[in-house]
Amino acid sequence: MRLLSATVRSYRLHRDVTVEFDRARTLVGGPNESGKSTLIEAVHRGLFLKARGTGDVYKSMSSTLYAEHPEVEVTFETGGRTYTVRKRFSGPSGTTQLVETGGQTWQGDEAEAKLAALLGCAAPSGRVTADKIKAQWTHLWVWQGMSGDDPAGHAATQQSELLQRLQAAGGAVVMQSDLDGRVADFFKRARDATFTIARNPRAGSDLELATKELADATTAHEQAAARLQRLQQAVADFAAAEATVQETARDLERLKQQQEVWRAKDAQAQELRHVMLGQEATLARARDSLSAREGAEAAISDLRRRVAEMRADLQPKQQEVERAEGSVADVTQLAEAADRKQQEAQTAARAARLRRDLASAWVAVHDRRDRLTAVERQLARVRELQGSLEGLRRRQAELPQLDRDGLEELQGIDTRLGQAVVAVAAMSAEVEVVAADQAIRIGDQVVDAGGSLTIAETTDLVVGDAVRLRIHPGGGDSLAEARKTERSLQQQLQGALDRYGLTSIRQAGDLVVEREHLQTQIDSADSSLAERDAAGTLQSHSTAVTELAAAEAEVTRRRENVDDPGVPSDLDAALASRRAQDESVREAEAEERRLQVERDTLREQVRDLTARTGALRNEIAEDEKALTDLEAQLEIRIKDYGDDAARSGAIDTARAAVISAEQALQKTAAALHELQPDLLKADGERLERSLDEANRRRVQAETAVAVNRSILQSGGDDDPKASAAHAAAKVSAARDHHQSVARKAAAIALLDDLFQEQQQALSDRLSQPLADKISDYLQCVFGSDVRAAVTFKDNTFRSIDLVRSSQAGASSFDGLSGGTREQVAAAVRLAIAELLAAEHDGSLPLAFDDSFAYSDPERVQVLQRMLDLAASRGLQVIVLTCNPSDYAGLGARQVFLGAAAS
Amino acid sequence: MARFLHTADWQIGKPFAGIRDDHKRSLVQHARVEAIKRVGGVARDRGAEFVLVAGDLFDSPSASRSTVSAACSAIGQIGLPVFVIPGNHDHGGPGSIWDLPYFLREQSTLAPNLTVLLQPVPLEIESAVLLPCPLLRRRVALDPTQWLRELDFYRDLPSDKPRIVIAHGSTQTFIGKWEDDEEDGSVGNLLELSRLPESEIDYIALGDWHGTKKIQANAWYSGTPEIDRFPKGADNEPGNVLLVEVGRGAPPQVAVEATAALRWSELTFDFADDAALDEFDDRINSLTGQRANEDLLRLTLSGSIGIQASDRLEETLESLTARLLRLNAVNLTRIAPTRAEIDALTQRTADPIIAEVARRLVERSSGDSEDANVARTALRELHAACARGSQ
Repeated sequence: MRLLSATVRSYRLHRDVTVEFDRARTLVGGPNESGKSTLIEAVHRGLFLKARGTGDVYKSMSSTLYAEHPEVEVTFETGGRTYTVRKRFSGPSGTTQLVETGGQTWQGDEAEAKLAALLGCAAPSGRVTADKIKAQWTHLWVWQGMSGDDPAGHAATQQSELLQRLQAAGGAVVMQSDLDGRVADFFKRARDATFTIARNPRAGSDLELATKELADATTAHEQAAARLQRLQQAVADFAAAEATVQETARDLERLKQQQEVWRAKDAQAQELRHVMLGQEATLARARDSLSAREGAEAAISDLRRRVAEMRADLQPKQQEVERAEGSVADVTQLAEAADRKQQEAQTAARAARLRRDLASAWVAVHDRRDRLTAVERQLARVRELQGSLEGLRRRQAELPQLDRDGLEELQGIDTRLGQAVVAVAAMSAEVEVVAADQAIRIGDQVVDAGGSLTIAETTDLVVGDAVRLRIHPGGGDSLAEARKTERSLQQQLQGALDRYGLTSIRQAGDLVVEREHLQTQIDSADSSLAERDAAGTLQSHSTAVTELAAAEAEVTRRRENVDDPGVPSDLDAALASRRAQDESVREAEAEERRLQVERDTLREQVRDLTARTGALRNEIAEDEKALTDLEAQLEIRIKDYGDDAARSGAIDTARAAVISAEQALQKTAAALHELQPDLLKADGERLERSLDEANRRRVQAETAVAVNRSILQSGGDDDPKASAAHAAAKVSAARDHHQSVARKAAAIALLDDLFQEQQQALSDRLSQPLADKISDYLQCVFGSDVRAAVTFKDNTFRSIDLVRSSQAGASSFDGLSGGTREQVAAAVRLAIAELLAAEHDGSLPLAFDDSFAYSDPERVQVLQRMLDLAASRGLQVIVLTCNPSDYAGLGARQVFLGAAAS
Repeated sequence: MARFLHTADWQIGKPFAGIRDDHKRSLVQHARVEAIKRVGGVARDRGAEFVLVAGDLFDSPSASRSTVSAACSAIGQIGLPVFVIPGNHDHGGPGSIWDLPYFLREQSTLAPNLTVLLQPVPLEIESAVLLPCPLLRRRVALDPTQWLRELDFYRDLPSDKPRIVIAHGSTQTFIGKWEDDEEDGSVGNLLELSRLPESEIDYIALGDWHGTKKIQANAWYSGTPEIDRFPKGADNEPGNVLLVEVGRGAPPQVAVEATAALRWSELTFDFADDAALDEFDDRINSLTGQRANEDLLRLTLSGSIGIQASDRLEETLESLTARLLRLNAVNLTRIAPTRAEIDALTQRTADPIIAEVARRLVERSSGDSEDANVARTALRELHAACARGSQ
C-alpha cells in the first residue's frame, strides 16, 4: 500500500493544499505552524475516521478561517489498484466516496467498509476520541511528541498480524496452543501451591504436611523407643538390684563371721601387749642397776689410772723448773754486760758525728769564701761596661737626630731640586740688551745695554716710554710651573736642613754614618751587660757575703764541742777532712748497732726463760690441785660402792637379773608376733570397710528394687513394646507417604521447568525474525556491534532491548536516552512495517512527524541510512520536518508547506 | 494316662504395627483372644483334662492391662486347668508381667484355672507330672532343660504318672525361621533334647516355632493356634493345637486340631504387559474371594505397565487395602508408558509444547534412578492433565 497524493481543504489552517507523495521517500518541510502535523493528521483521518460523525474530534478538524466543512481526499495504491477516497466531514451529514481508478465507486458506509477492508483495519466504532483514532496504524504513524514511546507496545497492537508474519518468516514456527497454555499454567499453579519462591515446601501443601507428618512420626517413635528402653532398663535394673540385695546379704554374713574371729585375736594381742609393757619396765630397771654399778667400777678404775699418771707426770716438770731457773741467772749477767758495751759504743758514735759535722762546717766556709770571690770579680766587670755604655749614649745624644730615612728624604728633595733647576733653565728666555739708547726695563728690573735677564715668565719689556714689548718665554704655563716647583723644592730642602741644624747634604751624610757607628757600639755594650745580669750579680754578692758569715759562725760554734783537729787550709782540704770523718761515723754507728742487737737478744732470752719457768710452776701447781681432787673422788666412790670384793659381787647379781628379764620379754614378744599384730590391725580396718561397703550396696540395691518395682508397676495402660512397634510402623508409613508426595512435587516442579523452558524456546524462535529486522535498522545508526533482543512471553511482546556485544547485558528501552529511544523506536516501527508490508503489496507508508526532535544533527544524518534502507526494502517513508535541510541526504522528494499552503 | 491339649505362642497383645488401620489392627489382635476360646472349645470337645501352654502366652513382658484382662477372661472361659510357662516374649524373672499386681489380680479374679510355672521344679497333678522349663530371661545362655538331665532326679517322681516336659526354644535338630517384620530373628534358647534321659520322659511339649511340627516321637511343636504372620516356605503348618494322650513309659498319641480363623496369603506377580492386569485380578479373586476383613495378603509386584494400566492397578490396590485386614504390598512395578500413550503425548501436533515436554520426560524416564522415577511420575501427571484438559 502506498500513498500517492493527498488534498486537504478547509481543515483548520489549510484552505486547500495538495501533496504528491513519492513512492519511496517524501520529505514534507515547512516552518513551525505551517500545518505539517495538521496535514498528516488529515491524511490519517481521511483513511481511518468515518466521515459521518460528531463530537470533539470532528469539531477539532473544522477551520476557524474558512466556512466550509473540512474535506480530505487521499489517493493510494493497494493490491495493484489505485483508489481515491474523498471524505467531507460535515457532522451527521458527512460523506465518503471511494473511487477505484478505472473501476468501481463506493459511497457512504459501503465506501467506509471497502476502505477498511483495503487498509486491513476497521475504522473505530462508537464514540470516537482523539486517542482512539490515533491508535489506528499507530505503528506506522509517528505522531509528533510520541516518537519515544516504548515500541514493544506497537508490536503488541499489531500482534496477531505480526505473529502470522513472524511465523511465516521463521519457517512456520509453531505457536503454543490453548491447551499448551492451560497445561503449562496448571503446572505453574500446582508448583506455586507446593513450593515457595525460595523452593521450600509451601505451608499447608501436601509436601509440607507430609514432611511434618514424617518429622512428627519420627519424634513419636524416638519417644516410644526411649520409653521402651526405659522400661527394659527398669526390668534389667530391677533384676540386677534384687541379685545385688541377695549377694550383699551373703557377703554381710560372711564378713560378720570373719569379724568375730578377728575380734578374738585382737583381744589376745591386746593382753600380750599389756604383759610386755610390765616386762619391759622390769628389764629397764635391771639394766639401769647393772649399768650404775658397772659405771661406778669403771669410774674407780679410771680415777686410779689418772692419779698414777698424774704423779708420774709431775716429777719431770719439777726437774725442768730447777734447770730453767739456773739458766735465767746466767743469761741475765750476759745481758747486763752487753748493755754496758752498747752504751759505750753509743758515746763513741756521737763524738764521731760531732767531728764530721765540724768538718762539714769547714767545707761550707771554704765554699762560701770561693763563691764570694767569684761574684766580686763579675761585679767589677759589670760596672766597667756600664761606664762605657754611658759615654757612648752621651755622644750619640749630642748628634742631630737624623737617621738613614731622614737622609734619604733629604737626598730625594735635593735630586728633584736639581731636576727642577735644569727644567727652568731649559724653558726660560734670556734677554740680552746688546745696545740701547733708552732705558730698557724688563719686568720690574731695568736692564741696560749689554745686560741680560733670564725670563721665566711673561714679562713686559719697556723701551723708553713708547715701546712696550711683552715677552712670552717658551713653555707657556709649564715654565711658571717649573719655576714654582724649583722654588718649592728649594724651600723644602732648606727647611729640612734647618730642622736638623745642617748646612749641606754632605754634612748630613757624614752625620748619619757617625750615628750608626755609635749605635753599633751601644748595642754591643748592652748585649754584654744583659749577659752579665747586673742586678742578679749584685744580689749574688750580697747573698755570698751573708752565707759566708753564717758558715763561719757555724764553725765557731762547733769547735767549742770538739777537740780541735786543726783548721783546713782550703776547700779541698776541708772536703778531705769531711770524707775521713764520714768513715769514722759509719764505723762507730755499725759497732753501736751490732752491740744493740746482741744486748736485745740476751734480754729476750732472759724474758723467755723467766716466762717458761713461771708457766712450769703454774702447771705443777694445777696438776697438784687436780691430783688432790682425783684422790678425793676416788675415796668417795670407794666409800659409796664398797671395796673391790663387795663391788664385784654386786655386779654379778645385777647381770643375772637383766638376763632373766630379757628372756621373759622375748617369750611374750614371740607370742605376740605369732598373732601378726600389724596385719591384724589392717584386717580389722579392712573388715570394717567391707562391712560398710556391703551395707551401702545393700541399701542402694534395696532402693533400686523399690524404685524399679514402682516403675514396673506404674505402667500397664499400654504395652510400651507394642507402642514402639506402632510408632516405627508409622514412621515407615510416613516415609513412604513423604516419598510419594515428594516425588509428585518433584514431578510437578520438573513439568513446570520444562514448560517454561519450551515456552521460552518457542518465543525465542518466533521473535527472532523481528529481532533480526530491528537489528538491521539499528546497525545503520549504531554500528554493527548492536542488535535487538525481543522478549515474547505468553504470546505477547513484552519488551525490546538493545544489546551491544561490547557491553555485558542488555539495555532496556526505558533506560535509554531520549534521542536513542526515538531512534530505536523508529527502527522497531520500520521492522514491524517491513514484516507487515508483505500483506500490503510489500509496502506500507510510515509517517515520521518531527520524530527525531531529541537526536543531534550528526545522528539525524546517520538516521537517513536507516530510513533509506526501509525505503529500499519497499516501505514508503514520509518525513515531516521544520528543518528539511537536515534530511538533504535522504534523497527524498521535497514538498514545502509555506504560507502559500495555507 | 493323661489326655491334654498342647498349645503355645498365643502372643496375646501382638501389636501388628504393620496394619495401619486402627480398626483392622484391633480386629487382628482380637482374633488371637478369640482363638483362646476356640482352643477351650476343642479341649472340652475332645475331653482334655488340662491345657499346656508352652510359652509366649503374651507377646510382651510389658503387656497392657487391657491385654492381660482379655487374656485372663478368655483363659477363665476354657473351664479346664491351664498350665503355662513364660517364653522368650513373656519371660519370667524379677519385674516380669507374671509378678505385676494387675496380672495377679486378674489371674485370681478371671482365671483361677491358670497356673504359671515360674520355677524349674516338678509339679505333680492328678494325671501327670509336669516338668516345666520356664524362661526367666528373653535369652538364656544355659539350656532350660538342663535340670532334667540327672537320672537320680527321676527316682523321686511317681512311677505311674506320665512325665511331661514343657519348654520353649529351638531344638538342636530344628531351628525354625519365620519371616516376621516384628521379630529380630536372632536365635537363642537352644534346647538339647538328646541329652534328656529318653526313658524317663514321656512327652515334650514345645513352644516357639509357630508351625505344627514333630521333632521326635515324643516331642512336638504345637505351633500357634491363630496364624500371626505371613508364612514362608513349605515346612510349616500353623493354626493348630495338639491333642495328646500319653501314659508313663508309652509313646504318646498326638492328634492335630485346626483352630485358625484368619487367612494369611502371599502372592508374587510379574506384569509382562498391560494385559496381565486381568490375570492379576483373577489371581486376587481366587485368593480373597468376596470376603472382607478376613484376609491378610502379602503382595510382591514387579514388571512394568502403562500409565492407564498403572492407574487401574492403583485402583485395585486401593480396593484391596480397604477390603483386606492387611495388604502388605511391595509394588516394584515400573510405570512404562505404552507406545500409544507415549505417542498420544509426544505426537500432539496441535500442542507443540506439551509434545516437546513429553519427549523430554520420556528421555529422562529410563533407568531406576530417582530422577527417572520423578520423570515417570511427571509423565503420569502430564497424561492426567492432558486428559482433563487442565481446566
